[in-house]
Amino acid sequence: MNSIRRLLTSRLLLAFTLILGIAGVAIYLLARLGLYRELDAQLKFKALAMAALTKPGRDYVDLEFPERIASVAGGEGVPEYFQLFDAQTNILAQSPGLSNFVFQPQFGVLENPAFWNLRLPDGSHGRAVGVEFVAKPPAPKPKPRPKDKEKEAKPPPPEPVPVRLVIACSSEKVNEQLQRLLWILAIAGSGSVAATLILVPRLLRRGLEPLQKLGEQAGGISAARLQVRFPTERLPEELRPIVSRLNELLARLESSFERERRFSADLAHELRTPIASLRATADVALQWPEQGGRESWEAVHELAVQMEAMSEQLLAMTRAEQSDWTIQRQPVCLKPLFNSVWQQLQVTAEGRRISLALDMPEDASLVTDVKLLRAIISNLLGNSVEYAPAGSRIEVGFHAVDGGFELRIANPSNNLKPEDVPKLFDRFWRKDQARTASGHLGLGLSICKSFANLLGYELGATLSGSNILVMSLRGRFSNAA
Amino acid sequence: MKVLVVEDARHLRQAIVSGLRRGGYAVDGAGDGAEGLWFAESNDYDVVVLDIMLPEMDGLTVLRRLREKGNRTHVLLLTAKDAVEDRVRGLQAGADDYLVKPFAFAELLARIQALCRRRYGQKSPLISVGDLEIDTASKMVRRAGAPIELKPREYALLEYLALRQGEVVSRSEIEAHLYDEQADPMSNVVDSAICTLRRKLGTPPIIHTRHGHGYVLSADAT
Repeated sequence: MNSIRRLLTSRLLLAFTLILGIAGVAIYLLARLGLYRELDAQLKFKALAMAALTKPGRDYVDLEFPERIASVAGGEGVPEYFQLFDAQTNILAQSPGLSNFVFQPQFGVLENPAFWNLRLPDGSHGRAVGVEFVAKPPAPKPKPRPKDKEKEAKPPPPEPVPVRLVIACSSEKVNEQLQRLLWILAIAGSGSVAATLILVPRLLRRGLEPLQKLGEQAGGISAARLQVRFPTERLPEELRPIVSRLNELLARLESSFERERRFSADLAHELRTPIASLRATADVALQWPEQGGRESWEAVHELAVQMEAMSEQLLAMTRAEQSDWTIQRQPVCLKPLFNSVWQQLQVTAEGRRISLALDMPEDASLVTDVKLLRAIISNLLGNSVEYAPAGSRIEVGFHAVDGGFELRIANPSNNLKPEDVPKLFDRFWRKDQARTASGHLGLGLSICKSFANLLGYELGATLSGSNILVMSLRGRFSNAA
Repeated sequence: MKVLVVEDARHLRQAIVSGLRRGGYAVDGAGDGAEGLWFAESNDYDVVVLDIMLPEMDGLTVLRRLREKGNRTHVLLLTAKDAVEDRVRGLQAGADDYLVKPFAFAELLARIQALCRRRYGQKSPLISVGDLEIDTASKMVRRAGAPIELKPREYALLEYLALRQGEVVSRSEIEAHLYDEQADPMSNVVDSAICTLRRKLGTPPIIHTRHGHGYVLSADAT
C-alpha cells in the first residue's frame, strides 16, 4: 500500500543512516589523522634530537654517538628503536633489541622527514621516521691562545659525515584509541538509527495528523452533506491551499447539486398536474365506464401530447447543457428566417393585433447553426406574441457592435417588473406560476440561453423604464466551420 | 351536495367535475382564482376543492378572502405542493383538508364525503331515519332491510334531506345544494325529484311536505 508515512520513514531512515555513516567515517579519519600527526611530531622531535647529538668521530666510520641515546628504550613501556646508517645504508648503530632486524628505510630531510607504518621486530604495528643529515663535529671551544708549538701539535677536527637515521616506535596505543573510537561511533550510530526507527514514525504520525483529520472529515462528506467545509484555521501552511481548493470544489458541487435538486423538484412538481389529470380522467372513466366517452380519450391524448412536449424540451435542454449537439454552421440570411418564423406565429399575432417591424439590412446574415438560431428566434418571437399587450408592436433590430453583432427583439410588457428580469432564464420560471391553457412550461428561455451558449453567443434581457422588454442576442461574426 | 372545483388545469378540472357529477354531486368549475372566489361568494357550497397555484388570484388568497368574510364552507386544498410547510400554510390559512396531486379519485370522493358529513355534524357514514338506512360511503339505501335503487341525483337529494332530518328544507336550499349552474332555475326539477324519491321509498311516507316552507324527512308522520 502506498503510504506517505511509510515512504517518508524509509527515506528519512536511509538519508539519516547515510549522513551518519559519512559523518562517522569523517570523524574516524580526522581522529586518525590527528593521532598520527601527533605521533609523527613526537618521532620527528626525537629524530631532530638524535640528529643534534650525532657527531662524527676521528675516524670516518667511527661515529661518536652519545652513550645516553645509544639505546632508545622508549618511555612508559612503549618500545622504540633506532638504526643509524651511513650513506651506503650500512648500519652504523642501532637499538640493542634490533640485532639482525633491518628496517626498510625511507629518508627525508630534517625539515621534511619521511614517515611510514611498519611491523616492529616484536610483530606489533609501528610507525617510523627516516631522515638523512650530515653529522657535523661540534664547534671548538674558545681557549687561551696557545703557543705556536702547541698549536701545530693539535689534530684537526673530524670531517662532517652524511648519515641516515630511522626511529621507529609502536603505534599500538594510537590504534587502540582509533579502535575505541570506531566502537563508539558504531554504537552511537546504531543507537541513532534505532532511535530514528522509533521516533520518526511517531513524529511523522503526529506531523501528518492534519492530513489524517482531513481524510476523516472528507469521509463524512456525502451528497446530502455538501454544505460541510474543511476548517482552514490551525492548518499547516502546506495544506491550506489544498484545503481551500477542496472547499471551493465543495461549494461548486453543492451549488451544482442544489441546482439539480431544485430542477428535479421543479420537474416533479410540473409533472404532478398532468399526471393528476391523467389519473383523475382514468379513475372517472373506470368508475363510470358506461358514461365514459370520446372526451376522456381526447383529454388523455392532449395530456400525452403536453407531456411529450415537456420531455422533448427537457431533452433538448439537457443536450444543450451537455454540449451534446453537433453545430453545423452555415451562412444564414436573417430576414428570410424572421419572415419564416413570423409566418408560423401570424395567426396568433393577428388574433392579438400584434405587428412585427424588422430593422435590418436585406443582406444581414450570420454564419451559424440555422436550427439552433431558428429555435431561439421562434421562442423569443413566440413569447413576444403571447405576452405583449394586444395591439402592440414587436421591434427587431440587427446591428454591428464592437466587432460583433447585436440582435434585439423588443416589445412592451405590462406585467413584468425589474426584479423579474434576472429570473427570466430560470428553468420553470413563469410570471404567473399557475399552469395556463397556453401550456407554457417556463423552459423556453432557459433552452434559448443554452442554445445561445452553444453557438458562442450571449442572450440577455433588459426592461426599460417605459416597460419595454428587450431580449438581446450578442456574439461575434464567425466563418463557416 | 354542492361542490365548487377551482382548478386551472383544464383536463384535471373537467375530470374532477365530471367524476363528482357522476357521483351525484352538483358541481361548479372555475379556471382561475378570481372566478373561483366569485362562485364561492355567490353560492352556498358544501365543499370547495381549491388549487393553490391559480392564475389571477392564488388559492390561499381566495381562501383567506372567504374566511375574512365569514364564509365557513369546507375547503379542500388540492395542489402539487407537497412540502410540510405548504400543508401547514394551507391549513393555517383556513383549509379543512389537503390533498396532494396526483391522487386517487376515490380518495378525493371520500374526503369530499367526509367534509360534507362534517358540515352537518354527522360522523358516521350510516344515517338512519326510522327504518330507512343510508350508507353515505357505499351510496346504498335500504328501507326495512330492502335495498332501493336510486339515481345519483335522487340519492343526493335523499342524503341531503337525511343529513338535515327533522328540519324543514326549502326548495331553494335544495336547488342551491343539489343543482349546479347548468340546471334551469325556473324548472320544477325539485318537485319532480321529490315525487320520484317518495315513490321509490314506498310507504309509509317518510318525506313530508310543509306547505309554503319546504320538505322534511322524518319517520314521524306529524
